[in-house]
Amino acid sequence: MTLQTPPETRSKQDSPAALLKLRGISKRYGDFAAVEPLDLDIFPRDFVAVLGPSGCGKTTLLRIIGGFVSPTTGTVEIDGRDVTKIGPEKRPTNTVFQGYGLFPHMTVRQNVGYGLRLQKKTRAEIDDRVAEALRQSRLTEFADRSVAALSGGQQQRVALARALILRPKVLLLDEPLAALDLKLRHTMQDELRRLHQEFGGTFVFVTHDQGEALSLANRIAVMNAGRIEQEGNAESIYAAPATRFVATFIGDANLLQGERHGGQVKLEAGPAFADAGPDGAITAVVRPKAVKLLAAGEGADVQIAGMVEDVVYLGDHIKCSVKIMGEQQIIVHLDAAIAPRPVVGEQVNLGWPLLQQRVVVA
Amino acid sequence: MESRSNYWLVAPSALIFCALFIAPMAFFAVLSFWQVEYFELSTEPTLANYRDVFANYWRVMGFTVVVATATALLTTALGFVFSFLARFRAVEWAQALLFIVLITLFGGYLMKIYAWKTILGNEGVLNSALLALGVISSPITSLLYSPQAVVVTLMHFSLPFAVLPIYASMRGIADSEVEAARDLGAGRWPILSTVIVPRCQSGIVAAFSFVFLIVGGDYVTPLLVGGKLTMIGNLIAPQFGAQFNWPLGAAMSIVMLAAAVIVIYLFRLLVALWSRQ
Amino acid sequence: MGSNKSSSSGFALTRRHFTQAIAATAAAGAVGLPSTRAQAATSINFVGWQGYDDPVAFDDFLKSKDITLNTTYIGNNDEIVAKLRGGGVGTIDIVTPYMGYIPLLVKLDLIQPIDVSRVPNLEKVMPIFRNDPNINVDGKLYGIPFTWGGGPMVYDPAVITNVPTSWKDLLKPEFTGKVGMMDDPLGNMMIGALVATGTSTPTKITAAQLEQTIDFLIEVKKQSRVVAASWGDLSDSIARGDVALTFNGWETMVKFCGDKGKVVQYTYPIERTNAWLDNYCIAKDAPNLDAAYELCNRVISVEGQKRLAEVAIQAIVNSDAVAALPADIRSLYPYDDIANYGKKAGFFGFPPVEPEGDLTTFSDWLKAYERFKTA
Ligand SMILES: Nc1ncnc2c1ncn2[C@@H]1O[C@H](COP(=O)(O)OP(=O)(O)O)[C@@H](O)[C@H]1O
Ligand SMILES: [Mg+2]
Repeated sequence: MTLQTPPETRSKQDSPAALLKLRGISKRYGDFAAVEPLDLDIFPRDFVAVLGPSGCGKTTLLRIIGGFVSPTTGTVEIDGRDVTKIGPEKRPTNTVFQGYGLFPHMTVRQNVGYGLRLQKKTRAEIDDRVAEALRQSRLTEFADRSVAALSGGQQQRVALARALILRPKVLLLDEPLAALDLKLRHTMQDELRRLHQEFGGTFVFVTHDQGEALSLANRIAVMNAGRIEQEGNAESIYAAPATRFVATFIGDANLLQGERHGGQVKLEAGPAFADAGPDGAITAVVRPKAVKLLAAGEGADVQIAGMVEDVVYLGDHIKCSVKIMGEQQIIVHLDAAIAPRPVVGEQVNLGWPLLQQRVVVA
Repeated sequence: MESRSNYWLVAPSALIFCALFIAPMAFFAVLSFWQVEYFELSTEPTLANYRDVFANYWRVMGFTVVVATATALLTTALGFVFSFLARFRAVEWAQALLFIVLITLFGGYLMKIYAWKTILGNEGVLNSALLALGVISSPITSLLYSPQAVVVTLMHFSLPFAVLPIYASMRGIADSEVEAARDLGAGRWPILSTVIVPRCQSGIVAAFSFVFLIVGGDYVTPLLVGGKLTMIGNLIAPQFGAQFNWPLGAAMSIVMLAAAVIVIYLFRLLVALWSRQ
Repeated sequence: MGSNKSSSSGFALTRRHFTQAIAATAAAGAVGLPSTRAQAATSINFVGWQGYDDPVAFDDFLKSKDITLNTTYIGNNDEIVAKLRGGGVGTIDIVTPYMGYIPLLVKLDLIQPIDVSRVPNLEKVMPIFRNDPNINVDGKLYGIPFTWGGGPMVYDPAVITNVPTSWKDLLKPEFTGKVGMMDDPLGNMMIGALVATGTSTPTKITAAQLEQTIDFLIEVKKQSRVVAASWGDLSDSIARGDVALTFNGWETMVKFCGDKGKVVQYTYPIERTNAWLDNYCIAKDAPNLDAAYELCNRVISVEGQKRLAEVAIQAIVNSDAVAALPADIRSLYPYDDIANYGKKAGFFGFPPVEPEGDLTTFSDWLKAYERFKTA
């Protein structure tokens, strides 16, 4: 079924041992399965995004890793040690909570030093490490302010510094950017990337925002209804979605229903082509950028005729909606410089290479 | 300009505050320097009432402060545990638990006192049960009519006044704060001592203050379950009744109030010291 | 109800009866309201204990006389003095002092002598009350006595087989922890003075005698489990079995305890006890003198007295009314031997209010009583 899979930057076989291993992890609340049984490996220095729509079980999964939720089945292993039965206070993980969970009765400095004080480190060591953490997080000038007096972004940096100062083997972040406004979100993305690099640790973060996942993470686990539907690097997930859900959730995609019989696919919209795989209903997925407007006489692996319904200029590209057979629509992203531009009502031929198309079951 | 108009906005509440709180206090303060002789008020300023208070009433006042402090500490602790359960342990039951606490307020004061008389008396529920179980062979007569009975009854009465402020301040603690503390390595006790207690400071101090003031000014409970016990309220109340010596009553009230302010301030200091990071 | 019974919940109990009775009266009265409104009624100003207005107000007597009652309830007898002195003379008609206050009220010129010809029911008032020296000053009657009581020792016959004959018997080891005291300063100190100093005029004692009195009270307190706040409470303690005999009591406790299912009896110890007598007095310059006399006569009428005895369970003074009482209510008080009541109890009155030789004043007493309270 896969015609071409973009190269994985790393595969389970050729990598060092996984730092975090989830095996058969699931969580049920009564009859409701928040997380279906799943396996997940996370490697040292990974920056992993758990991406999925709201309510799909991301937070639950993160809290299982952090030790706040005990899984119904399965084991959590960190650095070769089974920590399933160990509470968060003893796990080598730290969490940046969605609401940050800062202590409002403490100053920035006291918040950041809290974990070290619990570890009964010497005063001198605490002072040194806190000063260093504050410097790294560019919080030095706010050190003695109350956290309540800080902006959202500053609070986030405090939460990060407070967690990172304990040098966790895995840093867990629950929707770290969700509470910030757009501009700050971009700044914080850079900040997170920088911290990940400087700190050299392993980060796992949860988000419902695919853009955030694509830009921050080197690996993405896409979750839907308690399942991880696909896990891999950003390119492979974008280019080769394993399921219809992944295809729609990440990036724009045109979905065309069809039927497969003995290696032959016939799309409802007309075109037919060869594709190996089990018989039954399939969906062909093609990104808007892969679709071309064919010039007269020009050919392509897959071709469909239609009528231009709408043309929108979007600066870096032109978005063109084309109506095809059976009231279906195909979105095409055209080069902004294309001439002549298609006009509404025009009859056009669309086409794309099989290599740029993905066929998934159902 | 703007700040001036803001002052006017608070004027009505300031007036009400003065009328309800400041004026009576001021009246009492002035009254305490006067004297009553044969049904007549003499407005010649004198310290005689205060001399009288310190010479003749300091023991009862000290005893009252001890009982009030003990009751306030115990009730605050109980209120804290209760609030903690409602906020962090039995969250689904929180509404029901608070409802129960509030509903006991409606029972009224005397009902609780008589309930405890029924429980603690010689032929009371507790003694009867212990007798029936064979734990004791004759009733424990010291249950009722004792300082402990006063403390227990006042704890029962004042528990809602301790629960409400503490629970309210616990409601202000986000779950993520407690989880963050755990995440950063805090076990049960450190969480309690470094996060929950410091975050409830105002609630705890309010609870302590309420209970202390309720107990310090009470004169009905010692009369009814204290047996021969006398607290300062039992000596203040007659000054405004049978003894008809308002000035002395005022002086006693003001000294007691000062004692309350000092104890509450010390308690506040203690809680703040505890909460210091 | 003298100063000694004043703050009692025995009083609270009677007050409950009164409140019910008054509510019923109000409901009944409401029907006839418009017609009475039409006429100009005499509005009489009454300053007294709550409930003491009931014997004149419970039925349509006031309406028939075209009188309306404007009542001000008091919390202690001092308020009568304070109200009359503070501008009450000339507006107040009736006050209800304890007999011990009457000499003072006369001395301060706050009440007026009674014209006995205008109070025909006085004929029926038993001599022991009518002739009480406290209310007869310089040969003139200044108050209409209408209710009374004494302070016997009340005991639980199921527990106390060896009934004390003297108040001093309470100090016997066998009674340790069984005594219940009443927090009644005047009554306690008068009995204490009788016992501790041997005086026959316990209201006239010196500072040294006052100390002896308080010392004795403290001895009794050591024997006690409770110093009760009210008569209802003291009755409660006996009924619950927490105490078995009392220092200072009230005949009416027999009824209170009986209501709680406990049979108690009382005895008058050899040293005697104190007794009290409450009165309707007419204030000086009472603006509604005729109506005031109507009320004075009414409160000692057979109807008013029966009401007082049956609803409020108070002891009464009118011999015809006593004869008309049901046996159970009649038996609460020693009416049958009333002529000898003086051998059991004295209507002692009140200590001096202002300094008088080396005698202690009432405020000295109250001050001294605090030593007992805090002991
Ligand atoms: N403690 C719980 N009890 C019952 N259901 C829960 C609980 N926690 C989460 N859930 C349910 O599990 C599902 C997944 O929740 P969550 O992991 O928070 O989703 P996400 O973070 O992806 O939005 C949701 O439907 C949520 O209602
Ligand atoms: Mg979530």
